Amino acid sequence: MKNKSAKWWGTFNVDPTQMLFWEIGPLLLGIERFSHEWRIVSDFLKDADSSNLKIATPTSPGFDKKNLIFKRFAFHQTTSAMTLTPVLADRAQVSRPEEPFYLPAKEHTTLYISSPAWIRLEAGPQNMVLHEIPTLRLSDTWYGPNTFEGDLCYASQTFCRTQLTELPRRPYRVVTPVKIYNNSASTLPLEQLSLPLPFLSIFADEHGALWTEEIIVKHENHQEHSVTQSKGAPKIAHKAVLVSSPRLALKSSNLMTMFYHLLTE
Amino acid sequence: MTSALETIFQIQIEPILRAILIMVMGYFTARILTTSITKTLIKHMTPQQAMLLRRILFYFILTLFIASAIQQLGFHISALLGAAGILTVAIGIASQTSMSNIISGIFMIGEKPFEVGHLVKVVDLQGEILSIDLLSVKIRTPDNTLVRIPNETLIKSPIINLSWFPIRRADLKIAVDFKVDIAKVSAVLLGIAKENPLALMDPAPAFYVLGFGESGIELQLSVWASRNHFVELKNSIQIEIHQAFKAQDIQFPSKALYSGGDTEPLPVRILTKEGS
Repeated sequence: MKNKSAKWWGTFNVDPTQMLFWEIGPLLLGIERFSHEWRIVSDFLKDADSSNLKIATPTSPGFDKKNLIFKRFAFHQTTSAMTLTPVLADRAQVSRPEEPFYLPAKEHTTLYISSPAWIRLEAGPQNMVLHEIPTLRLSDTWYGPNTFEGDLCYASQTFCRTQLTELPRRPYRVVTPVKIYNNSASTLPLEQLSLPLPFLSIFADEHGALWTEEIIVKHENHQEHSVTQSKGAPKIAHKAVLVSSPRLALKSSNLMTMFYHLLTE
Repeated sequence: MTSALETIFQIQIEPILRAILIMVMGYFTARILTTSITKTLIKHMTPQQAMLLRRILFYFILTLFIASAIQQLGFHISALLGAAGILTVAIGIASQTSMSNIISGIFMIGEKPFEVGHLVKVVDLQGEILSIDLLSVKIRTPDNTLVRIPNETLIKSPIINLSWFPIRRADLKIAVDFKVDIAKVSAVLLGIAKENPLALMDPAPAFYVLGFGESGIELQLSVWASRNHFVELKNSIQIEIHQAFKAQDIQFPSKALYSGGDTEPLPVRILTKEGS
């Protein structure tokens, strides 16, 4: 069992008939092991900004029985290891600035956008994926030019923080640095930003903070953007190590289609 | 004797064998060609279009070989075609409905208003498309019954395809008491939509005042959801509205029926004749 630290992921040993609990931000998670099955219970706190962090404790956090999600996974014989891995959401996240945000012509900036991690639970001799739970259930949204072309995404509000020190450090959130260059001759109004989360990896720095690759957007004119993502962890994440790989492989053909609507004017 | 047999063989057996050989070759050629052509084109077609193309191609190729075989037997194709034309007219008159369904089916397959698995509303029925055939479309209703709708009926009727677009809007009609503050109700309803994770943030939920009804103010909350979560959203959001209205003391309208209890009954005076 791991001791208390910002690093809530990893492999934990659960004894037979033992139940362990995690509080990771607004998520309450309970994992119980029997000789032939695993039982997983989860619930969400109403406070979406909660920065709770309790790792593998035997004390129940007090679930709300009305909204409890309960799942059972049968095995021929369970083994003690249960692995928790932070992964990114299964859809892109569309972030809208809380206040109108503009980038003047020929300027550039770096925004720090965070997204709630999901937890992948793996058990069994071959580390089978049992379940994936978001640490915060975001609202759905539609991202496209009209109501029949586009993608279903998750919605979030962003403060478009330009200073890393302003960003509240919450253990369950993954930060993506987005560097935007406005190479055009006019001011770029930023109405919403689509983070292509299924194509990004998660890295953990030396303090246990989670990061994705940096995204670089070059806005040339009204219709032309070029979007690239850095290889590996961003430079500001010191001594970062890879925690989880992207859900989807980024191919050159889908690079532009995925990122095309990154910025909306 | 030998020459006589040879003559018979040359006159009768040889054309028959040749005709049989042509027909067998025709059957296999039609099958091989049809399969390979449809395999090449199937990526660009729906299963219904592929099935139609396969049948048309198969029978067309087979007909060519049959015509060739008939010619080998010494029949004149032109005379046969004339007879076939008359027969076709006779069959056509006798099977008008079927032909109409087939032609409607071909148009439907070409037009593609729905695909197998889509949820549709048509002629007062709602269900999932199970198969699209040349004569009819079969749908499974929510109470698990099979309904066969002739293609002719479908082509004449409006079809509502509930699965065509990935997102749908739910228009929830809500009535509240005349005494209620509409601005407060608007804030409560939009707040509920914002909190429900299945309600899309964009397109944004909308609130409308539809008018003043007999017993209350008629309102509408329009929320968008993904096609897969539409029913779940409709149920959950209406439960949340009911709970929020109870908590916020927002009254639903109620019809008041006059029972006569609030006023005194009309006085009745019995008049009698003088002296009686």
